[in-house]
Amino acid sequence: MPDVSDTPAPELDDDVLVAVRDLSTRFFTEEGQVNAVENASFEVRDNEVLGIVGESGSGKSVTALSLIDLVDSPGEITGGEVWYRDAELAAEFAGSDAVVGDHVDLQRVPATVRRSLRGSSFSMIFQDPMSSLNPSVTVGEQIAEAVEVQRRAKGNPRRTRSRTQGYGLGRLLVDTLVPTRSYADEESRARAVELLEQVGIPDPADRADEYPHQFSGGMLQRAMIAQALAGEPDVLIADEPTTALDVTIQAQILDILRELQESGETSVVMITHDLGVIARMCDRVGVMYAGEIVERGRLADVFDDPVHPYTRGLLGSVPDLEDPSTRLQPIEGNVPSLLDREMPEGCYFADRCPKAMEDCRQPVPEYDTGTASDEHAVQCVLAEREYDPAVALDGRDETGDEVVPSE
Amino acid sequence: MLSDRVRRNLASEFRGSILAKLGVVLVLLVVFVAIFAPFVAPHDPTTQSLDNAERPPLGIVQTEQRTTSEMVDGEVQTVTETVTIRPDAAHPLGTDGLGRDMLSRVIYGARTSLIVGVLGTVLAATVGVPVGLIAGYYRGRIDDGLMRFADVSLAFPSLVLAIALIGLWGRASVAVPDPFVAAGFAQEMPETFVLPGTVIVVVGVVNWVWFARIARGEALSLRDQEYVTAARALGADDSRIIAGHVLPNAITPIIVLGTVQVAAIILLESSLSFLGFSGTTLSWGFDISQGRDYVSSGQWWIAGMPGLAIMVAVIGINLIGDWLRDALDPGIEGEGGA
Amino acid sequence: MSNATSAAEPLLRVRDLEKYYYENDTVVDSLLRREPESVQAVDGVDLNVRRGETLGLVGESGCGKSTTGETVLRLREPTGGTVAFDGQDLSELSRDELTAFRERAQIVFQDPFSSLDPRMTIGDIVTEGLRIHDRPADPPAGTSKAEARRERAAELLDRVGLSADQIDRYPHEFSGGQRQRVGIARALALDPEFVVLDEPVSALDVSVQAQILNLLDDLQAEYGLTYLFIAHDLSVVRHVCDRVAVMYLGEIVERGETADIFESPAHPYTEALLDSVPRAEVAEHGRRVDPLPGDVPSPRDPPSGCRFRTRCPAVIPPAGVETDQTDYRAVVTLRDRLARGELGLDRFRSGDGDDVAFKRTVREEFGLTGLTGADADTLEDALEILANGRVEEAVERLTDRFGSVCETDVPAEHDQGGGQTAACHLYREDLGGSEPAEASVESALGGVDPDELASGEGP
Repeated sequence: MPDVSDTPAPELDDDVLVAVRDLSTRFFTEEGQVNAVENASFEVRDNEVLGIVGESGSGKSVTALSLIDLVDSPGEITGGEVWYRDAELAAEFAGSDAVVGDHVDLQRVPATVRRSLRGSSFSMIFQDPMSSLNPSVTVGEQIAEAVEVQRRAKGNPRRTRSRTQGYGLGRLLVDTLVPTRSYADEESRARAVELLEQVGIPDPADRADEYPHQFSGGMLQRAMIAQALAGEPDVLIADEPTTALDVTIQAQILDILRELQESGETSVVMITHDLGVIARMCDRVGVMYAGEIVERGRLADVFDDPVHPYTRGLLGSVPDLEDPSTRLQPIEGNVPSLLDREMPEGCYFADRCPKAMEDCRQPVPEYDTGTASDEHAVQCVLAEREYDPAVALDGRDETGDEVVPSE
Repeated sequence: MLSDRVRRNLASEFRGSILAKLGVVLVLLVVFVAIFAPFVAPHDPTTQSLDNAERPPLGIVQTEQRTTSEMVDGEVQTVTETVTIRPDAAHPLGTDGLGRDMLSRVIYGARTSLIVGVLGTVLAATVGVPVGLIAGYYRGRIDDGLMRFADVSLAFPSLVLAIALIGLWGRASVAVPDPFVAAGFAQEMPETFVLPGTVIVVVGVVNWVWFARIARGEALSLRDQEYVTAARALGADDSRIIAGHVLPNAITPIIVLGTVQVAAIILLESSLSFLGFSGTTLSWGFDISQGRDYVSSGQWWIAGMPGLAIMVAVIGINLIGDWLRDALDPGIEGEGGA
Repeated sequence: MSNATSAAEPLLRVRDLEKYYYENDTVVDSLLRREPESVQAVDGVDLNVRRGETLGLVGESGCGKSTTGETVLRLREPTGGTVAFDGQDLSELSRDELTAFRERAQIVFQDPFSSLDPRMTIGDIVTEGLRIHDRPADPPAGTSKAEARRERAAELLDRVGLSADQIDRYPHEFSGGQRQRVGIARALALDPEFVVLDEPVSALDVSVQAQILNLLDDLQAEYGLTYLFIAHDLSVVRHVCDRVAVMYLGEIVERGETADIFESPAHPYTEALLDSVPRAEVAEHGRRVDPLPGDVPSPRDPPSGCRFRTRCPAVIPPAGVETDQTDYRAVVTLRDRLARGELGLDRFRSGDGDDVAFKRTVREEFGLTGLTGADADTLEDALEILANGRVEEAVERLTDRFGSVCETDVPAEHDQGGGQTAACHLYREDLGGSEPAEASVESALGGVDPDELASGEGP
């Protein structure tokens, strides 16, 4: 049971589709407790693409999984709220502390309800489409199944929606023994072909009868997007969807995702380590480091006016396609361990930060340096005051520009 | 060769598993007994004593109907008397048909099994692993040729093949010096039809294929590892790569196989002895064959005790094999901490 | 081109390099009479790498760049062509000479996780080369070879930014970036002159990538190294390389000075590639990008003529064809798919044998509504033939009229000036290209003494 926070119910704008507040996800492993996500807060609005950028070990993938409630043991969501706007759902749970206006805190409703939202409200695509699709079932059949599941679910009360309708042991035996019968009916299959067309697969009717191994990487990723759209989700979470693809194919896929968002059907949460992809796709972005969101705001604010030294470091270490002259400014040191017992007090970036000060050893709150309408939140004391070399942490020199290189 | 991580895995797996501990205990028992046989065995295993024959082990009282015929006054009289044979503390496991102490025979039998088992496995590995590595590394025709050869070997049931080879080599055979004799721990073991060395060579030859298969499988996948290409880029030649990069990374499943093979070879040797193709009369299998006739008349322990010993040894070795496999499993040991 | 270095022979000289992989080549296959198929991973690559420079080899997956990198070092045997290192033909080297060559030319691999033997300490990994070649030949007085090597390992680890007291640790105890440093140290141990960097930073996080790139830069200056830098990330290539060669499906389609390639790309593929790369800046948002359609064709069966033609936005229509590029592409696509047998014609039939409806459906599907004049006539004829089921004839008909030079002729490398060349028919003089007839490969590759050229010593 996640601990119900004592924070007052948030005031959420109407166009906020999902609001995550202080989300924490921990993994309880043999080696100890791993704090994969720590007090992350962000919002997904209607009709936008939200980017979450971070390097490996930043916790961005776990954040995505937490959003869609797919975190498996030994991990669990240990705290925070996930407010989702759904009038119908709000009506169902009206009167409880899980509802504020049209928003429902998904962490406070039964797990079956959360499960029922998967595929219908929230959908996810992954980095490697080859391992996300069943190699022994045709692509069309898989998408049709997804459509069918959602179709049947919608016709049922919420309580039972989380259980796949009409698919019990008996059914499974029949389907196995009588291969011509299938779970999905004609209508679902037709819809599957439609979806394949929507994602730009040529000859969708023919290709629906092919198996995943007959598809190229780009085509497969499109198929996965099609499958994710089967339930007409409000939020599509894309976890590094183009990382494994060539750059020309990546351009195709990003185009599709952009179109989806522009057509007003879905909001997209784009998880990636590629700042270029973020710039191309995202309206707003959150930067993650060691499980925390250290900076977030509009694209222009974060890219042109970064406050947090990690953001600055990240932007400074990316080679510029159009201007090769400057020497790259890497961030010295390595990503810290996320083991609870090994994490320092205060700011997790302090050890690598060229501008760390004594105050950074205390827990750092989030400051808003943006305007009233556009939040630019930064979890760094530099949002509030200038760097003062006099109170610098050991190892920094006076200019605050360079850290004594560690390993 | 054993990195810290491997050591830790072995230790933690050991700590967590009762069976692993049991396995180690059993095997250590067998090894100890084998090495120190002359000091542990209460009697000379070859000393016969017909008065003492067929004594049961402690705790069991044997009752027999003995029928004796005598000439009394020119007539043959058969007298059936009920004889009670009591166990003797001097022979806690009883004696066999010739009055030899079972305990001592079992103890000395351990030596045979251990020597044949270990040396046979070493021989099988020495032949099989290089063959397998070469086949897997070079692929192509070399692989095809060697593996067809292996297939032929496998086509014969091992026992049949062993017997055939013994028949072929028989007396013109290898004299493997008994290490315990050489070290002064024991006297020469009595000679039989076949020298112990021959048996060792035979069981080794019969079992090389298993090692070849495993080694080949490992080599097939390892040769494509980037660090192998890296070694070639540095100028390493094939033998250096196979010995220095492929073998060390293939060693884990080979070791696990090795433990299993020791058990298998012990069983093979016992079967051979049972059938009469023994390298020595001080063998568990040999005793079982001798004891076979006595089972129906009730003296089960003559075959039973060595049988029990085989069971203990094989179970112990298999448990150790399980422990090694669980601890050294690539899934746990892995590469990369990231 | 007058100073000594550029007049000298390039350090690495590759001509017509070919690496084909043959499948269906075993005994069983010949018994079953299966034709050996070849994967043409590298098909006719020419390269010059000058001493001290960093030449970039760039392309997407399957283009053959990694294969080229390994073949150039003879880690794979080429199936054709020549590779000459410092004037010496590598295929003529004896075994000992090849071993000696290895001390001069090294490689750093892409994957920091699989390129280090997990069972060796990093000290051993770094000194393995030294042990193989028995270096140092003469250790300083008082030290054994083993000690000397250990010292060298410590030195190297330090130089690449690791701490020397880690020398007895195992690879799994390090992060990706650190392992890559170990790989670099290993390559440097033998004091090579030339290093192939096969995607050295692709598997690393962006901030670590920057560290490694700076390190490579420093090392090159310090040790006078020559790099062949293989990558798919164009931003990195721009940053690191002096000259760049762009590969597509086993061939080099464009080459030149880095600035030229990135600022004025001549080949349509290079243009598309550059266009597709998302820039990490706010202006990128909403930048209009026309992605290249389709997928990279299989190297088992590359397209005839120019391999890029199936995706090229600038395929050259034959003289007399007046349609615009979009329509032309559509016709060609139809023709290609018919030729490959990929089109199930039943789909277009409405069941009542109505040819008109059939033709209309095909037109709609392929967007073939804008043709005029003779072009439209030919299309009509072809569709008519198609409606009667004669696929081959229809293909022929379409090819007659619409067949492009891009299908029939393999493009040569056309000089763009300043050492830049592009292998594209757009620059063919007889087709209206603006450059004179193709320059010799040598001068295009750069680094050749014009006198040598004049004396007749060609490629």
